[in-house]
Amino acid sequence: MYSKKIQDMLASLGVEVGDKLRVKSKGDIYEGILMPKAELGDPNTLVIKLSNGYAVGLNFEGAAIERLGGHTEIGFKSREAKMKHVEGKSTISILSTGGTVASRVDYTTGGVYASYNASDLVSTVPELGQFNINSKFLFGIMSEDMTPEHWREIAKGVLKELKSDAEGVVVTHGTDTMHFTTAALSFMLKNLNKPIVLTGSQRSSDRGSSDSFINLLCAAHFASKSDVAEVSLVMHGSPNDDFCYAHRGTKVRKLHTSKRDAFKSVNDDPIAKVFPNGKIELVNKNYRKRSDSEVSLDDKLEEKVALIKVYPGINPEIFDFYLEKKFRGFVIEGTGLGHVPTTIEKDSLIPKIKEATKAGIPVCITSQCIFGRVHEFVYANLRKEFEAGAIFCGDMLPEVAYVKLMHVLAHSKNMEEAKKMMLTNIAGELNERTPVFE
Amino acid sequence: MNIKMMGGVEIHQRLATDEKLFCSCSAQPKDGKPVGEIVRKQRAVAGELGEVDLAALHEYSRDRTYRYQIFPKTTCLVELDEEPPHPMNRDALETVIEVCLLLGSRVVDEVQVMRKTVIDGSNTAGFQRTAIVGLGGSIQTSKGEVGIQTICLEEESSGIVGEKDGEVTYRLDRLGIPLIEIATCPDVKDGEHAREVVEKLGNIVRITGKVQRGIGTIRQDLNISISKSGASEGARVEIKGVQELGLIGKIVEREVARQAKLLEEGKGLESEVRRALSDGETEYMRPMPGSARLYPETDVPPIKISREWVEEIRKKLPEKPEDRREKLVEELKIGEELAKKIMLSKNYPLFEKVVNELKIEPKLVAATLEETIVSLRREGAPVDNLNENKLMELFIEYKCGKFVKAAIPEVLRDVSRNPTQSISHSVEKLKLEKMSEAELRRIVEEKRKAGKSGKSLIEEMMREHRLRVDMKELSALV
Repeated sequence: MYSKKIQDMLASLGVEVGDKLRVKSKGDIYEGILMPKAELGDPNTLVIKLSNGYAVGLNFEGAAIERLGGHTEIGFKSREAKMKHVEGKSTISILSTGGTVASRVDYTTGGVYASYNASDLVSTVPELGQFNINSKFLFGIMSEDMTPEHWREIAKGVLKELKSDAEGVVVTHGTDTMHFTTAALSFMLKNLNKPIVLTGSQRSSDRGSSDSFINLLCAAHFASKSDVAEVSLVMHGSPNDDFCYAHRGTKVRKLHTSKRDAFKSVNDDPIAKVFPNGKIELVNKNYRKRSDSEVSLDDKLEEKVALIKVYPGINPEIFDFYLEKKFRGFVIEGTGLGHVPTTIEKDSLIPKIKEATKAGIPVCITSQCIFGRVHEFVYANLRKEFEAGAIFCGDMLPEVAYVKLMHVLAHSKNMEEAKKMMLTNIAGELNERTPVFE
Repeated sequence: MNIKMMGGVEIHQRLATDEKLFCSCSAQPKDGKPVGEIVRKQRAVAGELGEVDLAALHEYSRDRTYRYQIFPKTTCLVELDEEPPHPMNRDALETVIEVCLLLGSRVVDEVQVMRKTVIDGSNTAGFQRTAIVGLGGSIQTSKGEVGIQTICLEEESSGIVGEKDGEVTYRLDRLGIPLIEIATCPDVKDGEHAREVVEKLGNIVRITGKVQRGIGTIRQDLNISISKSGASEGARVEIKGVQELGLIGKIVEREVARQAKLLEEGKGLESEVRRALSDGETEYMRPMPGSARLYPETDVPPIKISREWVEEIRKKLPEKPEDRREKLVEELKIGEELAKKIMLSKNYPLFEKVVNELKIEPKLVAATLEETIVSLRREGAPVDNLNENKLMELFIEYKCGKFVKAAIPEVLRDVSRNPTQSISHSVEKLKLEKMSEAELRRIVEEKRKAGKSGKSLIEEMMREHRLRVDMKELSALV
């Protein structure tokens, strides 16, 4: 934002962002379009886009501004959302929820913001023209701002599309918490009959090198013709623009902050390799197949669940905060095989686990190692944790256990039932067997 | 037909920073084999003002695959476009400000880093990061003043390795090296003039002592349009990648002739980008990119340039090339030829230090740095081992009278091969210590007794003891 002083002066001259100006500063004359101010710049510096396309920052102090004719609308022109269906083409639905994949530079803030809709995406990936597309804009937010309420809204949107003529549903989503959403949809949507594919991108779609084009295309192919009636996550499979992996929605995690192939299947093989030309190579034959089953939505969630990471020096009193606030469940990201501080009395979490369990509040154990499964018997300390009532969650990812516990607590009458549900595979989140090769 | 030419030049020079412009990779690529490769595609996207750039579309229509070679130390996730850029390298920005001041340009108050769409694949990101640092300014030439339009700091592109079956291979080691781009106003009169302007601008950037040397570190583009007298201006044609100074004149003249012929035939002139070929001809590359190809690089915050910083830089500014040349020739009595070599050399700061602090004859210092070392390199001596400290040590020992002028090449050759050895150790090992006055007297006496005198005595002495005898001392004695 420009400073108050600049804003006032611009207002008094009737100048708006996008107007063509002549700026006289220290004897030099500059002509160009007044640009919005990025949030990180100096608010007292005018940003002028010169006719050669470059922007420069000029001190406002002592500058004389003159308005020339002409105004340029700054920003991306959104396309018409309605698209005609053509007979013979496969129909898919694309729901847009925001994220980098739907992002462009925002000139009012200078940041990258989720702003354009599914039909805009189609215009950037002409290959999507081979499909009939039902495009819906659900909302435009970055995925760090997602809440269980958004999961419900997405689930409702997806259900509607599953009941339409679409062969499958693509949901474009921010990448940071995409794996939470795939887990939530996996638990909330029952008896799936068609593919539900979440995709996004690590580079915004306003750059020629964006991964969004291939991710979208592969996601569309997977939704349109795969036989996988599950919630999956389709993203780059390598640093190359060659193929994507379709990961099971309950067995995937973002494991890199910025790389294209940030998502990896954990404790499971990806379901398939998907190529931009539409070729699908199955990697994992264990999946739910397309059917005519009647899909249903069960979106009840107990939101008072905490996900707590164990670290050296963790203060057991943090559990008191949650207990006082009447939280109804805990997922602990333990160390290694699922450890928590045990032996030194004042640091031990064992009394807290006992206290919670006694009050009927489940404490679920996962591992911060991410890869591998937890185990309740290998060490004496693990046995103490188990005896205190902790529920060891096998090879379930911490984030998935967190979402699942929300779902379970909304559907169980007591601790015993909750425990049983946590340890029963609902949507591919628990594997009894760990494959040797990725 | 009365044809008027309008011409401008652009020079691109790599800066000699330790690190690249937006990451911590080494900015000094070394030859070697790639250790890996990635494969990418790129597409045309709408620019900041919502338009798709014509040049970008042109490349997209070719639907090519790009292979990028990875090299150790010069490639990280930033070059792969797998990690956002780091903050802009300050040393690079400082050097560009220095050049702005030397050219009398106005330094902007806040640098806005832009993304310039380039989807010929030469940048993994699909754009080149570039920023205007200075506007305006001028240089004096034999054909009048030539104005400066813009001075930019930008990223070097990837180096092309080859193209085959719609696949282009690039090497990533040079991607992201800081590059200064200076573009002049259309004040260039003809081919010879273009060459002069390019040379003058090159001298200005080199005098900072902070630019890379060698093949490929400087490139120039030429902008040429013509008009018939009285008629409106023609279309601007940009000729890219002129590497050889000697070809500039020829390229300009041929381009003017090409455009004139099109005008004569009544064909319209198209604004386009052409590629310079090694024989002085040019070939069509792509349509002229528009301003739609530039949009803000939001991953790099704008950089404020305070007046205090600019004044700090101004205080340390080197003299202009003409002033330095004059000082070397007139004041320090270094011949034209040698002055030309040392004035823009990376050794100039050392030269200045040795001359000022040790008061050694400037001509000897310049000749040692610019000629002796060069000829040692030619004969295969590992002269890269002769760093500034070693050379300083050499001049100090010389100043102390440890050895004579003529011994310098021998000593340097030996030390370059044994870089851990001290200069004095080398002198002793090679038995090159300067002859003491007593010894010199004794030998001269002996020769006199043997009937030698005057010129023939000196000649014989120099024949036998050239590397150990100071000529001046000897002639004084004789």
